[in-house]
Amino acid sequence: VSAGGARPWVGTSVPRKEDLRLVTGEGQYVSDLVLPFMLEAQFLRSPYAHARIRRIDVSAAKAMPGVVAIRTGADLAHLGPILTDLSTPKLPGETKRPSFTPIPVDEVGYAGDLVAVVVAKNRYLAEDALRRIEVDYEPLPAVLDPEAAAAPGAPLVYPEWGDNVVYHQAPVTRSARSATPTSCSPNVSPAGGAARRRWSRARRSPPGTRPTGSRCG
Amino acid sequence: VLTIEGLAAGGELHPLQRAFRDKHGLQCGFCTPGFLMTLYDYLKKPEVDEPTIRHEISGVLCRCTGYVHVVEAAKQAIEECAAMSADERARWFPL
Repeated sequence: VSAGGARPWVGTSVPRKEDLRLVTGEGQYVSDLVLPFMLEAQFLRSPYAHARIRRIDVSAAKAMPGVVAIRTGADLAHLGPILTDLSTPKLPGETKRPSFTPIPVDEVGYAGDLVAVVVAKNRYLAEDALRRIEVDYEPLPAVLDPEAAAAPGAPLVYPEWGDNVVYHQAPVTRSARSATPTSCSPNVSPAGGAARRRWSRARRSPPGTRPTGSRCG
Repeated sequence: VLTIEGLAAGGELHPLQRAFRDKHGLQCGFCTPGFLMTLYDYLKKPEVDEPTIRHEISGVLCRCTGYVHVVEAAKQAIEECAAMSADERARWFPL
């Protein structure tokens, strides 16, 4: 492969076009954007891996200068439930789908889970107001290991599921596999034998992982 | 006060800026001002050993490229600055 038939691209260092502005301080990032009438949001997050929210008092935070709005889980519950499409194509059996509200209403499920959002004239005022929100947590048992999470009686990530198992997959025999040649079937049982396979999945993150990159005009 | 915006002089990139570009010492560029100004100070009396360079830049976090290319860029700039005349040093290190 070559550029215009002249210089080979493979094995060649190609200088980046964007570096000049980035090394001279001319880069623009989301937090550099300023729009007319722009407000900024900051989020209060759970310090507990698992806790019941007994009470949230936002009255002191609401009275802070520059604060335009505060929303908790209860305020936004009518926007849910949001159903995540966790289904993996071509896996046999039924895949459970987690259901959640924009902000958890009365129970947080991980350290960093949302508790409230403050909208203010700027992020500094929003951060100041966050510290004035009073939350009464009742810490609950948490589970940190995937296999412990799958065991009966484990604390539940989604209580409505009854357990933490997304789906069960029965071993697929060779004959069943050849009958559905496009299916993903890692559990192939050789005749008279058995095969085991372990998966791991990185994290629980139904929403986008970089939600900070949002600016609404 | 000197910032990354003031490093280039006379339409020419500072040796540090050039080194970061040459050695791919940046990707998104968000941390680049921190690296460049930290190394600007370090380049006034640099040591070339890598552990020292890594210690010097330990206050700057990069979450795209990592630090290998940053260290290579620092080494290039250190070499170049070591070979500078007094006039060139005065030009590129006014503070």
